[in-house]
Amino acid sequence: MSITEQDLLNKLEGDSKFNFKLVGWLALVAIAVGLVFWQYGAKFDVYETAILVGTGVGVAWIGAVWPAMGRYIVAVALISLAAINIYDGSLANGETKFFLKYLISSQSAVMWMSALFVMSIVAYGVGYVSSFTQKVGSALVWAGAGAGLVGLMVRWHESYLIHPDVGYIPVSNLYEVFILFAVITSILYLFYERRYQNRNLGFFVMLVVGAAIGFLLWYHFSRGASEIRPLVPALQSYWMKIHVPANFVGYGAFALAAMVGVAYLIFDGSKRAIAQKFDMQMLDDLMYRSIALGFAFFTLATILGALWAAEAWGGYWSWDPKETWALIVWLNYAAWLHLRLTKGWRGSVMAWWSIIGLFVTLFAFLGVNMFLSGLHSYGSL
Amino acid sequence: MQKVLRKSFLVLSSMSFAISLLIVISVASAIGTILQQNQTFVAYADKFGGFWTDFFVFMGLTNLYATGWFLVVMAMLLISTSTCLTRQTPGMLKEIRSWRFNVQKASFPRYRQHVTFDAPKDLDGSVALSQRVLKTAGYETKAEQQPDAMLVSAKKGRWNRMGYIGTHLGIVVICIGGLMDSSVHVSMAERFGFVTAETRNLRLSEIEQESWLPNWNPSFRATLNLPEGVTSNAAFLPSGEGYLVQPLPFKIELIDFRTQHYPSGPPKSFDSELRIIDESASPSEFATVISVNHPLTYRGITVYQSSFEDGGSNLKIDALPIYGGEKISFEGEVKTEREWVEGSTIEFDDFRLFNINPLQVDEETIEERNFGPNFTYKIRQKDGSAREYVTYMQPVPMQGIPVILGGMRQTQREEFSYVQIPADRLGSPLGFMTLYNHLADRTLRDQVLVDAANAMRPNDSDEDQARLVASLDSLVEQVLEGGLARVAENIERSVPEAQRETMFQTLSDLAFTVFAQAYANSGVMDELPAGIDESMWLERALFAASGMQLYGATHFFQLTGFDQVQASGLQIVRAPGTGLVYLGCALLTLGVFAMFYSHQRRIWVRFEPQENGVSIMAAGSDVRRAADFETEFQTVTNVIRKQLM
Ligand code: HEM
Repeated sequence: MSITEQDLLNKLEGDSKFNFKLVGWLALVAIAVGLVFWQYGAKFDVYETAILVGTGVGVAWIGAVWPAMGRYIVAVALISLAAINIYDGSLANGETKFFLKYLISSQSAVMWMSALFVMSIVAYGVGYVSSFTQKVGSALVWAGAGAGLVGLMVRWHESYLIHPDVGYIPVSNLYEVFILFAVITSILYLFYERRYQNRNLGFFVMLVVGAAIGFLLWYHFSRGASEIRPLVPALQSYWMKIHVPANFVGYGAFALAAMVGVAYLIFDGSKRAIAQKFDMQMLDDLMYRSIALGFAFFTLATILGALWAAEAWGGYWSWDPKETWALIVWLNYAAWLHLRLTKGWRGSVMAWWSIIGLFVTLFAFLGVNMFLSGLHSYGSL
Repeated sequence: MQKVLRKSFLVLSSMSFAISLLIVISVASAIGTILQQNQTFVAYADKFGGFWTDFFVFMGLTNLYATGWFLVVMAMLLISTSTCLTRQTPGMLKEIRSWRFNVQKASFPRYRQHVTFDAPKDLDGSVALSQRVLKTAGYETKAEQQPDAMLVSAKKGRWNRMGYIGTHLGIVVICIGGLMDSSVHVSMAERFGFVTAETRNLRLSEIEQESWLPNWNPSFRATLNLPEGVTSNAAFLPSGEGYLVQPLPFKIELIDFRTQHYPSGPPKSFDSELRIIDESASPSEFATVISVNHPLTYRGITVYQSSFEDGGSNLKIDALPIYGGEKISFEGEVKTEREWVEGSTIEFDDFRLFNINPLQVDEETIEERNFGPNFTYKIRQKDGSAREYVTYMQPVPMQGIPVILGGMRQTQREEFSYVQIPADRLGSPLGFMTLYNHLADRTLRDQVLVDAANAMRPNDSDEDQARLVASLDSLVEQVLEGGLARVAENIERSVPEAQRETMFQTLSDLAFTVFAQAYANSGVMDELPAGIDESMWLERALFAASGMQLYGATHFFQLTGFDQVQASGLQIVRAPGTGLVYLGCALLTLGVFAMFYSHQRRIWVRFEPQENGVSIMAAGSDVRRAADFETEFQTVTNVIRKQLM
């Protein structure tokens, strides 16, 4: 977001006005961090303290530049704390306490997320004729993303309730990362929705999230994937805990770009009334931004993966199928970015390419685990 | 000549060439993931046939990532990126530093973003105010006096260009580091005959000098399987179907290998307690523990926990005769072999303390359970054919009856098929063996059959009884050959469909009766575990008896004791390029983020003094022409205008 006239004028005045909202937010985050440290600080080592502070800074920053995100984080934190409180140290409460059983045990929260996301697709669809339902759509996406993140947070706690030795951050198997994917993709979408002040892409982006939900539900009901199982030794690594989320910012952004590409191809040059809602230049710009964001995080994620491999397998690169496909995805988008930036390619070719890019990504994400063998087989179906 | 060089420089640094390389590398690496790498020749031939195998080998596709042409393509990317970098960097650095004061009055309107307005202020005041506004909006500014005007030049986003340099330099640095750590030099040394891989399984001291790599080998990735209590100062590099030996500058001893498990069974951690012995250091030795994700780095060499296996456990075994005779007791060590009956040999392959398997606990729940220790061995006949066996030491409860599991397979490709022998009071298969022997042994069986006939039809004539005995005998024969399934097959062949079911029911009842008689004759009943349902036990016994012939052995080997020796699989790596690779990764990451999130943009404001004020022209440019910049330009110029009014 570039600076507004009012901001600029205010700054010129020398910031005489005290920004209550911002200071309040920063104070809130600082207090929360302080409370956590006061409660658990004695058990932290240096890294954990650094992670806590880093998280605090990150949350403070994102809430300052995107207030809605700040509110989202607070809501998720409060609901998760409530769930932990109701659990009261016993997993059995998940079956007996009303709030857990029907709302905020991780299972129920994930089900709510699924329902809300699917409803948002409908709302955005109807939204092409009524802008009010589009707003409902946004609200549903916020709520769904909230439910999803609560689901992950509570699952984290539940894993510790099973046994303190079993506990782990839930970004370690296919079931968990699909939730992560749905949450991250929808949040990325909400970010761009605000940035472009335009809700017309919601239908398209939530379709791909909906597909992920479909897979998640199948995986849950037919394979019992939601059961919490302890981590094998190779997965017990700090690197992994940041590697996976970074990866999913990448996957989410690539998925979003692909769906923008779909909208581009459908409406480019179309004379239908609905096509008037889409500005091709904006779609093109959004596609670029999304791929750029995805590329940056995917770069980071691949590097973190290499660091992890170095520690777990004794080599940062071993041409394992999963690694190799990450490289392929990366090179593919590098080529995309170069053509756009240095050759000025635009329009439908790039839209097609971003859709193909999603299939390449999908193969790297799922196909490798299903069809090829390798060191990453922990993620197999 | 110079022309050729210049031309090739241009091609190498061109974008189209770079993009072609990216695509070639992608496609080639994809092939490498689809075709499994580094299998044996036979495995490929099995799957694809001779022609394609030859083709794959010729093209280097079976070891793609170390093949000449693939490495050449990678080197091309390295060269292309470096030439691109050398070509672009000087200009970019100059661009970052330059203020570009050479913008002419006439060119202002040609910029995509431009405005013109007048302001009723003096020249110096307007210049100062505008510079303040621009600075507040995040620009660096500088003013220059020109013949007829003041020109303020403002710029921001220098990190964008630095980002470009960081990204591409990062890639170059990573490639160089990666090359330093690769095994290209070892392949070369092998190709030119400086070293030769050893293919036989030898003791370290017996390995020829030509298979040893030098001490000073700058980079390697070797493995070492170290049994507990053993010390080694060499590790092994796999090469084709053989291996090379890499001496180490220190000795490693495995003191202890430990596995921890979660309460539900799966492994939680693998730890190796090591002693490092280094004569050249003081103190000359120290102990340390490594585990998965927690390696040890010492003298530029890193030691990783990568796997584990048996290191020669001692096994105490009772061979229980299945067809009568004396039990034979002996000991064996894993990874060794010993003589066995009739010129055959036993090869002791493996011993495992923990075996986590799914177990049907009741109708609907399947749980992961630890089945306890098992050992694997082969019986190899004189003609070279072999059967592989896996036997569990302790009984496992199957539907309430503790059974001893014995698996057998005839080739590596098959799954094991198991006999489930119901255990006696001592947890041993001996009780069952006695019972089985009462059916398998001719004399004992005759006695069983006569007793059974007597018990069933005490009042029949001798002739009828003899007939009954004969048909029971044939029934037992069928059961021992293939169980009740065999009985059912025979019924299907000789009995009309309508009567089959009753017939089968009758025959299985009869078989059961005979088993009960054998059970009585063998005196096993005193041997049953406490609280066991006798008929369920017998049913199991019948089931197990039907598998014994297929089991194909004269003895059932029962493990009665063991002394476990584990071996830890270590990965031993010298990788001097790692630091460079990490440096390159840092450059790459910072560079990519800088490139995407810093936009290079410039604004020029020209102030021409008028009679009562200044005439102002502003223009802006952004390399990316992002839609954002349009708003920013308007915001900044609007604010300047307002401030000057
Ligand atoms: C694996 C190899 C490479 C990767 C991952 C890579 C990555 C990138 C990225 C991410 C960008 C920025 C795109 C953007 O700002 O949106 C970029 C820009 C660029 N790259 Fe590469 N690059 C690679 C190889 C090359 C090669 C070989 C060349 C030279 C032929 C090259 C020349 C350029 C140029 C000229 C730009 C545009 C800089 C600008 O004007 O902003 N790149 N590269």
